[in-house]
Amino acid sequence: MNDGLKNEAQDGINNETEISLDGLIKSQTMLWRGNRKSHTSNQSIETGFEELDRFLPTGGWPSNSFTEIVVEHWGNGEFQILIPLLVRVSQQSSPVVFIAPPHIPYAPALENAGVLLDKLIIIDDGINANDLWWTAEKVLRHPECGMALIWPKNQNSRHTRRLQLAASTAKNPGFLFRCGTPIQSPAPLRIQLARSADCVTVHILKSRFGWQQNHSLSLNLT
Amino acid sequence: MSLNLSRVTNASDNLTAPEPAESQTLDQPSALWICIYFPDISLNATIDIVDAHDHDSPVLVVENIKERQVVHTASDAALNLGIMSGMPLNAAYALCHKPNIIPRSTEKEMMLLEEYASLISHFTPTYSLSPPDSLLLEVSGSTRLFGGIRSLYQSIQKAVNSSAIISLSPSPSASRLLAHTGHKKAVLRREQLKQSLSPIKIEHIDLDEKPKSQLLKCGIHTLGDLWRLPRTDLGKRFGISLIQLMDKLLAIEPNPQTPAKPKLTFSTEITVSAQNNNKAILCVAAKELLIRAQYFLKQHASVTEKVHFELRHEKYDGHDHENTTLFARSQKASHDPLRFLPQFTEQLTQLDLAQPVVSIQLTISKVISGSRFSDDLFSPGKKDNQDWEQLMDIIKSRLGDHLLYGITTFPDHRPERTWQQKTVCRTPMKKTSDDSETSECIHLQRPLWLLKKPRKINIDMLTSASVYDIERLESGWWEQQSIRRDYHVIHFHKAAKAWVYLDLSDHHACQNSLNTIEQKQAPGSNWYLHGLFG
Repeated sequence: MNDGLKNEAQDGINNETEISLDGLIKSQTMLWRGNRKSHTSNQSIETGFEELDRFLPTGGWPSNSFTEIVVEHWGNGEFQILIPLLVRVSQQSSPVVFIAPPHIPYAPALENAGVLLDKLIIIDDGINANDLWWTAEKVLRHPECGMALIWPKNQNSRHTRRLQLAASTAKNPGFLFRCGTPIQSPAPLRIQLARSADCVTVHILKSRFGWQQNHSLSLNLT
Repeated sequence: MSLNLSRVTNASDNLTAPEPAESQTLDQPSALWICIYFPDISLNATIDIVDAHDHDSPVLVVENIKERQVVHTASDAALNLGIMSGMPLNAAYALCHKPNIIPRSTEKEMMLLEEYASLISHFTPTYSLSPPDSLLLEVSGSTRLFGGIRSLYQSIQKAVNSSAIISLSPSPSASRLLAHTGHKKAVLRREQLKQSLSPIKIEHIDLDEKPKSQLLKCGIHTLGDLWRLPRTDLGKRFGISLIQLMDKLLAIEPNPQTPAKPKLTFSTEITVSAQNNNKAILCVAAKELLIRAQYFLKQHASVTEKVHFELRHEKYDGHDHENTTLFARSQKASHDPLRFLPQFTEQLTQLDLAQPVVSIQLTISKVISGSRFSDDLFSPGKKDNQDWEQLMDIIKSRLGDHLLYGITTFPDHRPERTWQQKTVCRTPMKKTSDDSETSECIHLQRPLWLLKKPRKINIDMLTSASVYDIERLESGWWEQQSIRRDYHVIHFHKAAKAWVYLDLSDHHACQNSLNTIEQKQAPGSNWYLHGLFG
């Protein structure tokens, strides 16, 4: 009997210690916990793929910052993964700006997917580097911009930071595409895509919004 | 440096306009002419922006008369030194050591006069230019609208906002004569004309020098002296032209005026102080020009899509430098030219001005009637994306038109032609019947990326690829750009899903036998990568 009471008392002390430790950690706003979703995670927009929404730490594409998508080769699913969002944004009559795409966004395929072509504005890849960053910032900073897709030719962390600031100020989603091996970048969310048959493997390289247990997801885009 | 666009003072106090009560009791004359005389027009036409320093220095506008340089107009500072218009330039040098000499420009004066006309064109539909320095307005139909003659006079004075002398009478000639002799008078009745004009000296009337000197020799010095003499004898001695002039002055003989045509273009210029290459000042000057353009468009209920700036450079080493031309364009015609200012500023920051700018000219060559561009009354919830259009205009002006475009589909089977570039438009394009053909093709699998130019690929790459669909496209034989291709959706190992084709144009002989991919991999086959599925 006495032993039983002692055990219960001991459990009670342990529980209190655990609760207080958890509470202590939670109360520290300066402390970042990798497995916890950030308070900004609710500011997201659906990707159009349920699995991807569940997988991304933000519960969708971050709506007020920009996302970097890294692929080994162009055409590895980086465009297709954004089509549902593109359809939704264009149908909301918001302009979508393609800045220096490496190839021609093919109008029949986009129309077939349901994108309103009138809302698309293409800026040719003949643009020089300075003008590219200037245009990207102007567009992302504009409150009426629906979304901006940017294919920069070179890496520049100063410009990327400016883009992040512009996107967060105007709360516009922006996507930055890179081809090749991933390198350091100040983008809040960075994902890498790899193709295999009809599936695309999404791998989170970096996330300011917290981490998931699994860092990779195999997504069927068709 | 400061903008000094209203350098001359407003002088409307001396008008001897009748009291409203009096004007109501009078019989309304059939016509009522206002003459606006701009004595300083030649000065204002040449100097728009003067430094505070320059404002105190004497400025002389000179013209060549019989191979002699004569002062046409002198600034206030020069007048204070005793320089008068009509004085030879040598005499002016004797009174002032370093005057600013500006040659007279009748073209600029005419431009300014037209600009003044645009400022008063809303007061009456019947106005005419009386070059080089006056405007004539027939206002008998406008007095009631503007609340009486006094109110109309004050409105006109406010609109021109300069040292203009305004006079009013039933005769255009009399109004002009009164204004040019400095009489700010309002003569409402024809019977009062003779009395009002009597003190005016003969030398001011618009008559040849010969009869004028004959009159003076006869001891006739004023118009009053003229009217005291018998009319028939005057005609015999001095010619019928004098009689006609007198009758026109008294509104007995009709004196029709050529009405000014409404301007379809707008042009205005600001002179910037020389030796000044400060871009901030150029922007201020451009803003001022755009404000003038805005006023012009408002007066004419018009809009414009494009404005044209011309920066004139200073002469250097005796050579003229090419003017710098800047355009500012808008997707949507606008009644507010100030929206072009960010474009101008953006272009100016990009510009490397080799020579100082002496003047900026703004031209609107296409003024469009504004009624076609009114907003939709019944769609109040419609998103006003004017700011977005302005951003697109700014981006276009920096990057150039060719780098910014929209895309659309086109009914053609050739993949290169199923899409087209188009200018970024404000309103969505209406669907045409031609689109039905495109929609037939929609169910076919098409890649999201199309390569600008098909890229030739190695046959070895195809060996490890999986092939899905095959589609033969043969079209354009009626043009020079015919195609014969077999398109395949393939999947490269660990790489993109691609859209490749075998060019059959060189395989006339064996085209029918190429039924399997293995057969098509024969040496010499032309395989091209044309698209990626993204």
